[in-house]
Amino acid sequence: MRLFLLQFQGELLKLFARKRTYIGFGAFLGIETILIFLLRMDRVERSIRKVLDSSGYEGGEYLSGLTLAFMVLIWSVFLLGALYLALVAGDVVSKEIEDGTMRMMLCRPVSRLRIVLVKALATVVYTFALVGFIGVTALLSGLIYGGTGGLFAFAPLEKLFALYDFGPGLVRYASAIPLLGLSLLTISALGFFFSCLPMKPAAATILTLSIFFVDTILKSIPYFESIREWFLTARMSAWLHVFEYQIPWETITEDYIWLLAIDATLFTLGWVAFQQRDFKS
Amino acid sequence: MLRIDGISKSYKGRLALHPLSLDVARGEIFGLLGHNGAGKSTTFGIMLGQLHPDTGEVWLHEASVQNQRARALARVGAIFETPSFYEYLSGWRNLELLVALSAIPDQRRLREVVALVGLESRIHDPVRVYSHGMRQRLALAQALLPNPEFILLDEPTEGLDPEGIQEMRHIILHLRAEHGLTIMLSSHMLVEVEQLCDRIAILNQGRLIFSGDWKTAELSARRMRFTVNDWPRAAEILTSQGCRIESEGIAILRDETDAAGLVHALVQANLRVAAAEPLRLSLEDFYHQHAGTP
Repeated sequence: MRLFLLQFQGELLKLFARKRTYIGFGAFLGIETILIFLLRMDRVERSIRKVLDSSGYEGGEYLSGLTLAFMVLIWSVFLLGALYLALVAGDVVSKEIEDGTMRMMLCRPVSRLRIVLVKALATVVYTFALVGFIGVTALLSGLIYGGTGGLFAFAPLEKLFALYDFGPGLVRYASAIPLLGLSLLTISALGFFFSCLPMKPAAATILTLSIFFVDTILKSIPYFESIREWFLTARMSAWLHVFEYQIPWETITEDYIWLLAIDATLFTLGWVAFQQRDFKS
Repeated sequence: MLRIDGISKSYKGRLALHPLSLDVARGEIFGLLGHNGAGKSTTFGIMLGQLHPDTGEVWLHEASVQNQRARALARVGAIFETPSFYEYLSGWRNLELLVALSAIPDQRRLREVVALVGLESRIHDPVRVYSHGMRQRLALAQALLPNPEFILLDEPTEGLDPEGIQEMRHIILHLRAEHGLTIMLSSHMLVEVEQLCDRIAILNQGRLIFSGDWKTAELSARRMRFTVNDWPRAAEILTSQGCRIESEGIAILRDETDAAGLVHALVQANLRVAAAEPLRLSLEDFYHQHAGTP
C-alpha cells in the first residue's frame, strides 16, 4: 500500500510539476474576471433584473456574489472546463509514450495495470482540483464584486428557475461543486481512454472534445428531447438538480450511476488497449 | 539466469525477429551484435515485456517475463540507446520516481549509485540541462537501482565521447567484478564488445547467425597470411592443397592441413615466400565474416 501511495504521489508530482497543467487554472481566473465584469455592467444587470421582476421578485436582492458565481459556473465550466480536462487527460498516457518516458517506466518490474491505475487516479485528482478551484475562485470573485445576497439560479435549457437566501444558496452552491466534478470526470475518462490508444496526445484531446461537442449539439436539438437521456451531456447536467427546490435525488443518483459506469468502462477499455500495446522507440 | 526460448516478432506481417533462443549464465557479460534493424532492440523489448512476442517466452530468474513480468524483472535493470527522463524534474527526482515504481527509494543507496556513476555534483539540476553523457550516466544509475542482479544495456556507449566510452567500460567491468552482475549489452562498437564480452550473439536481418564464444570459434577457423611474389599462382597451389582463399594473401586452412607443408609446396613451385603467419581474427573481422558485410 505504501508503495502504491508513493507511486500515486509521484504521478501527482509529474502532473503538477508541468506548466501546462496550470493553463486551466490561470485561464479560469481570467474568464471569471471577464464574466463578472460583464455581468456587472448596467445593461446586463438590467436584463437580469427584468427576468426577476417579470416573475414578481425583487431583482436587486438576488444580484449577488452567489448569483454571479453560479453564472460563471453554468456558462463557462462546461465548455472551457472540458477543454482543459481533455488537454490534460489526453496527455496523461500518450505524452509519456511520445516522450519515451513510458519505456523507462516499463523497464521497472511494475505491472501495466498499476501504471494505468495511478495515472487514472491522478487524472481524477486533477479533475476535482480544477473544478474545486473554479468553484472557490468564482465564489470569491463573485462575493468581492457582488457582495452577499440571495442566489438566483436560472438555466432555461434545464428548466431551472430558483431563488434562495444567502445561507441556503451557499449550501446548494457548495453541494453542486463536487457533483460538477463528478460530471466532468466523464470528459477526463474519455481523454484518458484515447490517451491509452496508439495516437498522439493532440489527437486524443481533439477526439475527446469532438465527442463532447457533438454530444452537446445533439442534446440541444429540441426534437431529441424525448431521447435526451441518451446523451452524455444531458446526464452530466445532473449537478444542476441540486438547485431545484425539491432535489430529485433519485434522478441524480441514476444519472451518476450511468456516468460512473461509463467512466469505469472507458478506464477498462483504456487499460486493455494499453496492455495490448507494444512499446518501441 | 536468462533463457530466451524461441521468441519471434513481426510488424505488419513482416518478420522482424525469427525464432530466437539464447542462454546467458550468471556472472557473464554477453554481447548482442547486429546492424540497425537486425532485431537487437526487438529482442531487448521482448526481454523487458515492452513488446509482445508472436511466439516464445523469456525466462529470467526462473520466471516468465510474459506471464509474471513483475517477478521476472524484480532484479533486472535496463538502459536504452536514447534514455528519456522528465526534463522539468531534477536527476535525483527522476531516480526517486523511477525507483518508486518497484521499491521504496532508499536515500543511502541512491547516493551510492549517484556517486558510482559520477553525477553527485549535478544530480539536483533539472535534467533538461544535462548533456548526453550525463543522461547516459543517469540512465545507468536508474538501472542500478535498487539492487539488480542482471542488467540490460542497449547501446550504452552510443553518443559518448572517447573518455565517456572508456569510463562506461570501466563501470561495466567494475559492476561485474565487484557486484557480480550479469550483463547483456548490445553495441555497434565492436571494439567495446571485444574488450567486454565473454560470449556474443550476432543477429542479421532478424536471424541468429552466430552464438557463443567467438574467440573459440575464431580458433577453429585457422587462417594464414602468405606474403609471396606471385599471389595468383600461390592461390592455385594452396587451393590444390585443400585451402580456401578468403582474400588476397589470406587462406583458410583445413583442420588437418600442416602449415609447414603448405610453405614447402609453395617453395617447390619456385615461389618466393617472404612470410607465412597465422592470423588472429579481430571481432570486427569475425562479425563482418558472419554478418556478410565487406
